[in-house]
Amino acid sequence: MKNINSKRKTMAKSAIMALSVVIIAAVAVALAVAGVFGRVTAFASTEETSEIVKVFVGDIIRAPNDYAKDRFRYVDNLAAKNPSEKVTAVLGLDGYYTVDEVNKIISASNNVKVNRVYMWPEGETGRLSIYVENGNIADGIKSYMDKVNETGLDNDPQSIADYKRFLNGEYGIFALTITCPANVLNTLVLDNERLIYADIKYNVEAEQYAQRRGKTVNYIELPSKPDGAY
Amino acid sequence: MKQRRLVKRILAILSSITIILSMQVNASAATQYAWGPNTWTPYQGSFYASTTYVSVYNMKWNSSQVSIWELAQSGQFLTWLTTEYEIRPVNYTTQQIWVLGSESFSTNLPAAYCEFQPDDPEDIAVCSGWAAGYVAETSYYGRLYLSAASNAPTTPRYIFESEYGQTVPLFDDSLPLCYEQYVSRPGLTLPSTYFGTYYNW
Repeated sequence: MKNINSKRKTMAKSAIMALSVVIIAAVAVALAVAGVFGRVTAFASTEETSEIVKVFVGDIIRAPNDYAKDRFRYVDNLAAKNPSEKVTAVLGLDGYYTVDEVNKIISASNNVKVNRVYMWPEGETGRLSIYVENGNIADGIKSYMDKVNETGLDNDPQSIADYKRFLNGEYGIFALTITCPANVLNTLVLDNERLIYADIKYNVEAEQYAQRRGKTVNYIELPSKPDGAY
Repeated sequence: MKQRRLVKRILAILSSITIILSMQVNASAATQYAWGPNTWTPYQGSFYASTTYVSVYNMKWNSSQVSIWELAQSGQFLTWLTTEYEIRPVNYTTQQIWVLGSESFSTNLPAAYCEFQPDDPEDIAVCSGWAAGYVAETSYYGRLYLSAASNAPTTPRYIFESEYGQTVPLFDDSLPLCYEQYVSRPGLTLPSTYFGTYYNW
């Protein structure tokens, strides 16, 4: 009888211990996840607050696995519901292309305005982001070169070396930002295997999250490269 | 007796929760440090700002700084360590100085992005979203080519800030973990950096 009681006591003790460990671990994991996601800020009674919710657009390489698929699906749904709604999206290419090649890729669909292109030598760290004012990529590149000529490169050897490579045609376009109706974007995505992602600059979850907290959403373009280089 | 143990156990759990929570709350606040030498800022660099051009260049990290980035990142699975170099105009909003959204930028920073947003009027910034990608003794730069707003002031004062933090995929509203503001002369309390002048550290 004594043995049975002792066994019961030991079992109960072990159960309580195990339960405690599970609860502590669960709470720790929940808080750690909440902490790294920046959601614990609300607990802080501090004088500092962040009024901005940053949304990284085109950051496919670091997003969860199904993110690119989900964003394609979002384009598809939007095209079905509101085909004429104008959207701005970051498009990722499956390689590094010339201006002519990119023009061919997007000319498959009408009514597409290019806002920005991203260029860099293949497989290397860095990026050149060029604003395209009138939708013409070549004009945007010319305007960028004019600005570099006006301002110089601070006599910085690394910048000068990189710019020389740009002039030598070593840079290719790996991503671009466009504005067009949702159905046009959907057609573009469906008809073109060179587009590996299309990330519309609107994130429902982020908008809802920001709205609940009275914050503003800032969409920041950070397009991933096809070769995984940073 | 059993009940007393259970109460003790619950109290122990509650105190553990309190400790973890306080750690998380501390991690969510931004801390300002005096200008360098701090781990997250390159040991050398130069910067310049005007109404049409902003640059940060000749920035280098040494091998011990780089290994700290690598070590710190290796403990993070859901977040990425980021660095930002900010220009914060004094007495003006960014919209009063630049036409926002029309910038071009060139940079060899890893996973680089630019913060230049109409809804964030305090600063513009060139940033790296992958600080663990820094290579020791490589010369890094970030240059923004901008358009001046009409009636933009030509030589306003500004604060140059180096900061680091962590971001999560998709969206994030956390504060930077640490930041420091450049001072051209020790002891100055007002920012003494002006448009049109080159500065080095």
